[in-house]
Amino acid sequence: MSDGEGRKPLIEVKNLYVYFYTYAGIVKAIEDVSFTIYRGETFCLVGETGCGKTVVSRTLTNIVPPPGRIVKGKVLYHRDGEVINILDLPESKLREIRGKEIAYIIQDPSAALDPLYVVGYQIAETMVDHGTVKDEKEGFARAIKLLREVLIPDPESRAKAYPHELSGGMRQRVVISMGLSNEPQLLIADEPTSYLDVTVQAQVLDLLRELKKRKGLTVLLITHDMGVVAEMCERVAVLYAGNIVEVAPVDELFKRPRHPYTVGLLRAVPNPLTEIEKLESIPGTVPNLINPPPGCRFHPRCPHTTERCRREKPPLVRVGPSHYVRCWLYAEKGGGEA
Amino acid sequence: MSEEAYEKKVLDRFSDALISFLVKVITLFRKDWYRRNRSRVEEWRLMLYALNRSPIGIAGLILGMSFIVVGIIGPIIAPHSYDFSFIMATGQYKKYFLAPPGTDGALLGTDDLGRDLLSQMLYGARISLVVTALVLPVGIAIGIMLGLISGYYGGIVDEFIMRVTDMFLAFPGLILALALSAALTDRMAMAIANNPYLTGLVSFVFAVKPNDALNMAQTLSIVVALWIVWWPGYARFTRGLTLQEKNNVYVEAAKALSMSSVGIMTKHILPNIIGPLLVLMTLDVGNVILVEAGLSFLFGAQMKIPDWGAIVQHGSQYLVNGAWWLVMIPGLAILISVLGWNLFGDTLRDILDPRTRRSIEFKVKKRKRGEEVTQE
Amino acid sequence: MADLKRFLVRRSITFIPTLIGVTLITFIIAFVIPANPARAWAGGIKANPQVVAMIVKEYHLNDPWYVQYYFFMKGILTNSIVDPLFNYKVMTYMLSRFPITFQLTLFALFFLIVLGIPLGIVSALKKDTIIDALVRVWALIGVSVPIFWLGYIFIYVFFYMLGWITVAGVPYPKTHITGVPIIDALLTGDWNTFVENIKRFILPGFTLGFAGIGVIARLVRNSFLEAMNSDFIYFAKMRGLRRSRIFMHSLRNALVPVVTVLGLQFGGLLGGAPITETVFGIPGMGRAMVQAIFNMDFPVLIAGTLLAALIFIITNLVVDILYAIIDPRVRF
Repeated sequence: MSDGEGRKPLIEVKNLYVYFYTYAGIVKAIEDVSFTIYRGETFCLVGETGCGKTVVSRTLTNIVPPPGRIVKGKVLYHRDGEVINILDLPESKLREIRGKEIAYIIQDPSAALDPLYVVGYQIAETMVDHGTVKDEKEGFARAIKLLREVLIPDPESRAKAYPHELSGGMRQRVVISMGLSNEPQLLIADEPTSYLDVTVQAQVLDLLRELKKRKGLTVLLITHDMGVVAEMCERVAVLYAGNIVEVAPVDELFKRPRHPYTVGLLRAVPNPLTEIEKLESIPGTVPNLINPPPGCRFHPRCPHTTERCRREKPPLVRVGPSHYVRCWLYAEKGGGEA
Repeated sequence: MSEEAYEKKVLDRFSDALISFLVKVITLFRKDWYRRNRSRVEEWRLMLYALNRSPIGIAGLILGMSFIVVGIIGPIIAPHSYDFSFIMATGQYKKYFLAPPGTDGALLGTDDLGRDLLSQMLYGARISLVVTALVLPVGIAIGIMLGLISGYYGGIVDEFIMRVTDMFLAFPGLILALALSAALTDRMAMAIANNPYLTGLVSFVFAVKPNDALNMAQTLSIVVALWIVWWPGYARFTRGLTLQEKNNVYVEAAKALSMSSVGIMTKHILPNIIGPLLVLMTLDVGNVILVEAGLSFLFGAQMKIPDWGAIVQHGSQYLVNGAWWLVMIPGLAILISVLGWNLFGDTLRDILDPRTRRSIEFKVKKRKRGEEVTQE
Repeated sequence: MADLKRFLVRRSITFIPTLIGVTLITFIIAFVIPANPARAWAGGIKANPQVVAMIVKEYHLNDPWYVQYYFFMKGILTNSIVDPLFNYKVMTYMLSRFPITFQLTLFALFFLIVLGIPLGIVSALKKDTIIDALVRVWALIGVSVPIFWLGYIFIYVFFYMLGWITVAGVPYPKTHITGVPIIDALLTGDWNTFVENIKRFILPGFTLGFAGIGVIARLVRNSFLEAMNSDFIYFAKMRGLRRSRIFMHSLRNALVPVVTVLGLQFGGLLGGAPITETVFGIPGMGRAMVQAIFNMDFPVLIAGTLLAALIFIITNLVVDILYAIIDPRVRF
């Protein structure tokens, strides 16, 4: 795939398959997922809970937790001119990349922090283990500066606080500062605001936007909230049941959604300015991924299902500038590209 | 879910029979019980199936049951009485003084008084069994009751009960039991001496001659001492469980329907916390056996009718002489009995723990056709 | 650290009612439960009637219970309770035996920590291997085996057969500083006595701690596994922290519940002391209590019970404080 603005690719995910081996059966969580993240952009991965967006994010540093396994595919990382497949790297090399070149912000900041250590130490250790600072003392001083950057008031004393002494919003800022501490190439923000209330949510998003602008970060933002997508993202990929169903620049996606699922998603967000009689929802439920439906995974819930949808899985095809859809409604027209 | 194609094992038919029997018995008392509790019965069925698939659990159950069975029939099948002496009976002092196992008629050997170890072990089994059977239900009942009240009512009642519990728990168990049973012995002796019904009961239950009933005073004081030592642990545990259950919505609903507190506690909370309690009780059987053996070991000669611990104490003096059987065999018996209950309790815990339960459930429900689950 | 101090104050406040309650319970065991307390205190069946009468007077046994309790406590606290049978001060006697029992439990605790914790960690790291299974078996056997049986087996093997250990007396160093023989030997540089004490106490200590080792090992294993699988450890991996650091995070979190359990196990050690001391012939508090039963020496029994409870309460207080130091969440 190429990008109209001539940006260089940073991460290329190709034909990724991730299966979870549970005693209930094999969960085919991710099937044939491919996308590219370009340098300097904010790329969004959107989908409902359980569609596999978090799993995808974990594959980027090969850190999918057992019983999950990456069974097929490549994760190509463009680093200083050379291209490496992350999935081929040994654990020691991966450790160097994690937290330094590719950093994560996770959903639940309380789950991220060790309750027995003060937050300043935890930020410091991230830097020490990657050689960004010499020792814990220097790391601690740097941590205070980082806390100031993420707008935590009185960072000197906050750095000496334990996680349970901080509010949810502050904990998330600590996590963000951890993510930025080693000046990463890619920042993966996995639903960074889901566990925060709305006012704090706005603050954190503003902060992220500001930091990205200032440091020229590349961001992979994962969310289920279309509002966040509209606010933060430049390009969007829509994920359903482990498949990418649509990829487009954000304006294009909102103005001309093609895939029936995307259409349903956007319609489900009520417009507060109009009068609504009932809430729109997509009928049916997310499929069981141990025995996924044959053909297109969305077909049981799709209003335009045809016989072909039930049998064959549609390929991803181009339907506009940088706009791709995986649907039989469009696969006949337009040039195909997997 | 019972329509799933289970791979039924032989033991499962026994489990089914057991469950049908239980259901029939309960239905005698409450006609509509089965209808209302069908899912719970299916849960039990599933648990029994899980037990059937655990060889360790079955082994433990067998050993545990052996303890009970031997305890019951011990005195009946014992070749001699507990106070019988080969030396007195045959006059053959040299032969029957500390005779090793295998000597004429003394399968497990004799002690310094020529008493048959096998018979002593069998009578001792009954004593251990009776003590365990008396201690656990009463101690647990008191503890559960107080724990429920404490957890449910909260406030001052809770504070008070918990303070008292703490005071008892501040004593190391064995030491408290030691002091209590020493202090109680006189009273127990007086009670037995003054009460012919008690004398009769004691002699029947412990399989001793009525004249010897008085000698069981020490053992009885151990029972009462252990009641006092045992309840605090259960009170605290039950209170913890009750506190968790209390917050569930169904409690609020029951209150809204003007259900009495006692009713809520017994009909709603108790059945829901019985699982972990059952596991604790099973694992505790071994503890009671051990503590009782320890106490009877320490009381030694004061246990005029010896049970396993006292036999060891008596025999330990002769370890120098090489009479290993007086110490090793009773100890082994204790070990096997306790081990059985611990194995069974461990398995029970795995079955009832919601976290490990899932994987066991799936083991049980393995589909007959197709879909083989590939594990890494 | 301010909330640590607050926690200490609050914890100490709950300490006092428990303390009083313990003395009350001891009093009840001493004077209310026996059928004839005066006679029991005077030496049971063989009590001299004059002594019995003297006891009734001295402890006001015909007065209401609170008066009795007062005089009982006074006797305990001023160490004025004299054993009628043997004519010595009861508390002094028990306290003199205490250092020996302390040394025994010290050895047992040593094994709990030095064997139990590493075994647990190895068990966790090598989950589902032979080592893990063996530790599991140890834990199971440990809580199933009667201590006296284990003790006699050990004595038979290590004393009769191998002669590696000693079973007589307690080697005391020439100077007494703390009263605990092995510590004194260490402090005065008396190497010989130090080694002799080890030979004497290592087996009883191991026997006493045998069950506890298995329990601690299993606990550490499960706690460590839980810590290793926790979300913040996963996030630590995501941050690319080095393995030794991640291990320290897991370990520290895993050890938090272990501290509490060690404290509780200590109660079990105290409870197992009478049996162990009897089997190995160690002249400690537990053995004194057992002999008291044999001699119908009731006052000693009561003194021992009270002392044991006191030690246990103090230990638990220390454990709670340690716990608050280790885990900042508890300090509220």
